[in-house]
Amino acid sequence: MRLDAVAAELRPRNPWEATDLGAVMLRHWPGPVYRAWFALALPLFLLLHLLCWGHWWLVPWLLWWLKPLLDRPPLYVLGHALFGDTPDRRRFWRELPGLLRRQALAALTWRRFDLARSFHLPVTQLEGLAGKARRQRLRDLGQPGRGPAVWLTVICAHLEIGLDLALVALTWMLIPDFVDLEWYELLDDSEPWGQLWLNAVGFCGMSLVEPFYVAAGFALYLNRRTWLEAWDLELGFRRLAARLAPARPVAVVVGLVLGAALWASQPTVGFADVVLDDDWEMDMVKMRCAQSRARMAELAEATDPVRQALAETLRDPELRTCVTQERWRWRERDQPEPPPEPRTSADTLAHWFALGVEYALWFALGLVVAVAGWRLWRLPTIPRGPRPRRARVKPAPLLGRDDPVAPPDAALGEVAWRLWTAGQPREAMRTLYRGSLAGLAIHHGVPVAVGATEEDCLRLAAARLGDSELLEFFRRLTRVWQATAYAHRPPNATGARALCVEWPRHFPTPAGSSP
Amino acid sequence: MSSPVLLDTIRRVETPEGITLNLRVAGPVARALAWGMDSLIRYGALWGLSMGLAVLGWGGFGIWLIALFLIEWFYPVAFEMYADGATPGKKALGLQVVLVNGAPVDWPAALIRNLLRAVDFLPVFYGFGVVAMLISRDFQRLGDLAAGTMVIYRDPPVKPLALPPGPALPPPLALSTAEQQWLIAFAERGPVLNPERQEELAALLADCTSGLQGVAAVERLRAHARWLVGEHP
Repeated sequence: MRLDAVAAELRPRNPWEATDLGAVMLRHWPGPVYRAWFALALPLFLLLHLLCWGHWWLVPWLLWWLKPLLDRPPLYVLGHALFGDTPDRRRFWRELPGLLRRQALAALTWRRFDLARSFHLPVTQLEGLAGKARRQRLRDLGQPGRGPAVWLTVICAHLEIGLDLALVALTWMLIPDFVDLEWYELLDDSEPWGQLWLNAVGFCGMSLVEPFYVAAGFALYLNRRTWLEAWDLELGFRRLAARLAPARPVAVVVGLVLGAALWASQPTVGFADVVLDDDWEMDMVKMRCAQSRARMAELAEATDPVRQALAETLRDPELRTCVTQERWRWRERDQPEPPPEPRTSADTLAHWFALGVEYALWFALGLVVAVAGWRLWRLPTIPRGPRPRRARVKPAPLLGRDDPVAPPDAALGEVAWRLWTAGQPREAMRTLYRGSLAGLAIHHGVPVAVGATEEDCLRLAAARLGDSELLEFFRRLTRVWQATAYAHRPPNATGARALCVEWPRHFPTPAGSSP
Repeated sequence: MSSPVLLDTIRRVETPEGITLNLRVAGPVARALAWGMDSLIRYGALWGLSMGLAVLGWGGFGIWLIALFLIEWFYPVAFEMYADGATPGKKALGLQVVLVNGAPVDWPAALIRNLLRAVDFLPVFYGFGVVAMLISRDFQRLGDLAAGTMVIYRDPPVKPLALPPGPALPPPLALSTAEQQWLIAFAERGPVLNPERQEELAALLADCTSGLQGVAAVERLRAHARWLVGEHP
């Protein structure tokens, strides 16, 4: 598992939010997940009908019983796709039997009534744990994780039944009046066809809900692990570490890659989406791929440690430079049309009539367009809609929240004054205002939330501060800052000077951190 | 470092002041639970009312029917307008109805989204609503799409930071906001993480902890975090 290749935002969420992440994952990979689901469920559905010939009422029950196995292919796809490794068809079919065999008996018997099934499935399937280790793991993940997972099961069961009934009702609504059918006849399972129809409805409902159930359970599992193992912090720390030490490891990798590139000394063909029609081009590509593979093989057999390391590096899937994929696609329609059949006189008449109607229709369309154009042209130009949207330029954040910052200190007043005298009134006021916010948050415990507006901050400060003088100063500063920032009306020099001088008085430096 | 857009359930809204609000959009599970609670409350109220009005005979039944109509159609509207955009069920799950631009829900929107409940209910049992919610980007059912509303998780009130006590040390270099937040979160979430995991995480930042090992490295990072939240020796 490569945490840095993860395709979803990992942050500690509340469990309901985690199930939403499951829905987002399903929405992002609907094709692969549903293909994996139907790859197993649809053949099974048909096979069960063959096996239970004459007892079709058994099929939905058996299918329901087999759900723990049916859940596995979607989870397999999700688990791989999330870490940037969407499995291709061949690998899926190769690994499917093993996937289904693992702990199948337990899943279908004493664990069938596990109410948190989709939450526990990743432990069995993705971590491959069994027996005591599995129980221990579930206990570790368990306490606050299990409750929402049970609720998820309950809700998905209701969704499934609701959707089944909705499908029946929708069908009934869409049946025209002249078909003599009452709604309850759609629920009649005494005839084999009625039973087959109901089985199909049940299968559709199950197919809609079950992948979501699996995805949501998987997301709950991910969320628990993010809480317990701080995956988000691991990612953050890795990024920070990469920023702090850009020189060493990257240099080694770059060296190796450069070496590899020199060694290859041939332009490599990337994963281009170009469709090669030309046989000659195709042969060229194939030849280069063959050369590159030969070089890999040569490297792999080398005894020289440097070359072995090189081969090791080149084997990394991220450095794989050559992949040949051949696919069938439709030829251009270049077959000659079949010779027209000899026409009868009635045909000719119909042909001319159709042609006439076609021209009339085109003429009518032309007329409509012309009239519309004329009306538009004659229209007075006053009622204009909203201004056309220009390409959005994201404004730089006013408070520059991503700059490296240090906590406020007393020198801030001087810094601001220097900025002011340097002709940067906005920067100066920004420094003061920002410093005040930090000071209020740190020394006075004013809980400034992300996304709070200036008014919000003022209100929070008013509720929290006992010191009326400080509050008055902060209010004055806020107004000045707003005027500067939004109205481009900076204060005059006396006002600015007063603010800069007063600032350190209201936010005294804590001992020990003066510069 | 350029990173691809990660899958998430957040809807970003930018206010005219240039402030970005991250709204956490709520999906089918939480909303179904909230709806269930609201249904219990509604039917409980109607049942209580029917007990009380039974003494009035047919007249009572008439009043009850009117109450049924009002509660069925206007229970959510009233709560969304007068109780911070949340019915009791939504409040219990920390949900809130807002406009898609993050503003509080207004009368037209509240009316539209709740009158169109009837469409979401079609064919029966919210069939269309559930499917729409699973497909649309912000988990909107049809009524939400028509009214321009969405359901979000209310942010919990900001709590003052509670870091374990100890010495504070300035970090050896300037850190961006996100990096500061990681360090502070590391210190704050100490009680949840087991000690080995904390040491593993601290080992990732060997450059920050000047090569300290194990518990010492963890303590060093915590000291930096304390300094970052404004504790000074």
